[in-house]
Amino acid sequence: MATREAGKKMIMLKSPDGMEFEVEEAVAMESQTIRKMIEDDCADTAILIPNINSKILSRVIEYCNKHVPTTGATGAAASDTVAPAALAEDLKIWDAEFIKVNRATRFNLIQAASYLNIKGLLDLTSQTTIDTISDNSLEEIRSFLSTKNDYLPEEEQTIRRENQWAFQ
Amino acid sequence: MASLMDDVTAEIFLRLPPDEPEHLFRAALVCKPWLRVLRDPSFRRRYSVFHRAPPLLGLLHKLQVFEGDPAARLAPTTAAPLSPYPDLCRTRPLDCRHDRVLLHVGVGSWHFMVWDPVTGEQHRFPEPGIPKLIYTAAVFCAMPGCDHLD
Repeated sequence: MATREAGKKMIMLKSPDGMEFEVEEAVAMESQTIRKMIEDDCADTAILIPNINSKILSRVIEYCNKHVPTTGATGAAASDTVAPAALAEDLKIWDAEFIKVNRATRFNLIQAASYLNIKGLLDLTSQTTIDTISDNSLEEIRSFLSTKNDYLPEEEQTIRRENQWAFQ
Repeated sequence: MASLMDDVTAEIFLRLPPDEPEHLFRAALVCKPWLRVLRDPSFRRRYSVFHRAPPLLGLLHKLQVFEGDPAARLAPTTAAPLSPYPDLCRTRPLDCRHDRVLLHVGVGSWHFMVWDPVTGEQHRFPEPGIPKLIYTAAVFCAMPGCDHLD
């Protein structure tokens, strides 16, 4: 484990495609999965993050870097000058830009957020899918999410007829 | 979406708003793998924990007057259909918990009825043989570990 910049503890994260990412411990601990590994002393050397390629892992780290609570000298200075509401608003704008990715990347991010247990990222990445399900007809949901309809036409008709309340 | 593992699909579905039950229903009709995820008892448990309190599906309200209460009414607050209030001439809702409503029913002799407004199920119970002015009744949950959030 390396240390850098005024004793900030660093953690090495490794993706299965061989890339290594050195991140501050506080940033890595945005992931509850990694936090548990660190707290259980399982993180003395580099942590291998299975199933998450370097492209996705670097985006996840970018998210955690942005969302890690600011503490210490710089953090105190920031919160003295910027109101918390303004910070929250900044984060929201940043999140909205962050999630402008194609569908495959978004699903990979959901998978990564789920495995690494990062609630904020999971909420953010799931929301577009939730909006799609909430705001569209069945045909549109299937087309937007490339989901194959495996109900027989008569099955679907019967269920729709018996449950009209859900389709009004 | 098909490439997403079931547990990731479940992660997304957890975030469907419980106050609008039609979204869960429609998601189940998108495809059978989604239905499988949504009907899994473990998903239902996680959904309850995630949203803490279950959604309000309706309000039961009644007027109590000295002679002849008008029938209580059930006003749904979502699109989900609820069974109609039991069509009996004299009923008084006494308590409700976990989707079960306990009614005091005065048809013939007074008795109790437990009614499930979601399924419409009704179960009749005799009075305990104590004069009705000196007791009341409540619905209790005997499930071990239940946190009684609803």
